[in-house]
Amino acid sequence: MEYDITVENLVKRYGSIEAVRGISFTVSRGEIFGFLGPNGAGKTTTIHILTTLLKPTAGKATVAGYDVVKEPDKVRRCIGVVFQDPSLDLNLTGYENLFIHGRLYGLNGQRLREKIEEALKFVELWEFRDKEVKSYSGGMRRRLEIARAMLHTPKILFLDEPTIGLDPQTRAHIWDYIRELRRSYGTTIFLTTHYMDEAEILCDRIAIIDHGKIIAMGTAEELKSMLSSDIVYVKLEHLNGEVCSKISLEGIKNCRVVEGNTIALQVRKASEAIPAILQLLDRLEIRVLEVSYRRPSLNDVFIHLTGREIRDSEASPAETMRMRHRARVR
Amino acid sequence: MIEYVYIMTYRQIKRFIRAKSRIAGTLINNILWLLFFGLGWAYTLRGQQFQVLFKGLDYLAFLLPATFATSIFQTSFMGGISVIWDKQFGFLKEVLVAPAPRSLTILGRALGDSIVSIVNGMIMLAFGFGLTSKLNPVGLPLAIAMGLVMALGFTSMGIAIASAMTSPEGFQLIVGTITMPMTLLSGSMFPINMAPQWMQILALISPLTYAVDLCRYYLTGVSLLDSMYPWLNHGTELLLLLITSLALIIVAMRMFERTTIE
Repeated sequence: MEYDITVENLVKRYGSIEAVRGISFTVSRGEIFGFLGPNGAGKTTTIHILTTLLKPTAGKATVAGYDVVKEPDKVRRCIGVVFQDPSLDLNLTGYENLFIHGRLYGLNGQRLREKIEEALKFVELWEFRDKEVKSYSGGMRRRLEIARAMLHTPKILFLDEPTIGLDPQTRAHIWDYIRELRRSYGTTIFLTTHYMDEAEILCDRIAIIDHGKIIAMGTAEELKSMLSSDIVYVKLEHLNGEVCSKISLEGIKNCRVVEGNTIALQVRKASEAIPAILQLLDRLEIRVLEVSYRRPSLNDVFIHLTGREIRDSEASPAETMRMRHRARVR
Repeated sequence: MIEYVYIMTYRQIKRFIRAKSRIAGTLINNILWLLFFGLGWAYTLRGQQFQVLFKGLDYLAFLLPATFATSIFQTSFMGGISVIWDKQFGFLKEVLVAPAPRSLTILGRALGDSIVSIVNGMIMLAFGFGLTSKLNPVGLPLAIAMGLVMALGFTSMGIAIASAMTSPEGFQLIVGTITMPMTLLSGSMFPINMAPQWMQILALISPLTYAVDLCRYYLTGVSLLDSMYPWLNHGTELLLLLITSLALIIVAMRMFERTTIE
């Protein structure tokens, strides 16, 4: 098995804050590998280290076989990056942005023109090529960044939160591009996301990261089977705050209140647990309106591992600033 | 090698051409300054007796070549702010993650901004030729070549400062603080050889003083610095300017290589 990315005990410290606390993983050639975790978990820091923009405090990382600290030039030649924050020149046209990028990567002449056309057509921006990027929508800018990152046909593509802040259709669109990239060029893809659906739909393997540490790694199926359980949702007529503490049945591992009057219960096997739950609620004189169940999601895995939801994790001040900045720029 | 320099030059010039309102703003500013400041003093100092102060030149012929140099200085130095905009709008990351050597992309950037500021200076000078007949067009190629040398130096100075900063306000503050005294001390508006000794010494530290004097020498044949120190002729001045510019370019390259995104 050939590895395009290997990371060993990577640490990044900012003063006394440890953003990345000793992570290790490998990504095989042609794999789509995802970092799933809340904001501030260390995902972007890891991408910045792997793309040679930051120096790690400790540990070792190779990309395309080159050490990111000792041979940054060689690494840079093999990678394409779509940063979380926009990095386009808004005063130039889409075509010019790609032209400059191509020249910075040593492409030129007819070959560069063909590549630009191919990339712009791939993300369906060819007809907007002569418009200034200022006039592009958020989704168009993201697509242009993807086109730019693939222009020099990198071996490895890094995508930092590729669909953050985009509408559902655009997101689905971008997922198609990412899958198509791997299919057509065999590109190895490393992406970060805090969207469970994105990780589940796109990634061959997922590493769940929290507070700078990888807390679980595997395929979506493998991660979910860690729980070996189902989630039962019971909608109640009235939600009593202490209802969870009253439900003590054998086989219920976790009880929490979700939106509305609904509680979610983690059980070993839903079909066996539901009658018992209903009988218990009946005894407690709590009226039940609806019952449903489903297989656990990655969010449940995250809750199981950390005790909180991914979207509950509060954005750091820096993150909030960035979001505001993005809102202003777009 | 050269293609990395070229592509960033191309980008800076493209951006400049796109910013039509900025071009108009600079032009209007320059014209108003020439008219109100230049003509105002030219009329005040129009008698024969004043020409002694300017080694036989009238005030307009004294002022106009110097404005070519000072306007190049101001636009070049301010050009560094684009590094900060690129930090804020993210384009800098695109350049930093590219395999193109940073020292060459930054050189291209400095060259692009230099060309922009020379064009700006030449527009200024074109008005100058309209206002007075005492400028010698034969010296123009030399003045422009010298303009490129100084522009490269001062854009590099701007880039070096901008590389270490994150906010455009902070950069503007520094540029404002440095630009004003350097412009005044350069001897562009009054003969620096008449100023107090301590001011003359300060003036000689600043490379802009040499650029102003050289420009005046090329376009009118008059140099004021050599009446302060006879060894300070145009050859020495050019050499000093070349060395300073080269040093500033190297500093800018070093600073930019070390730029991180933290």
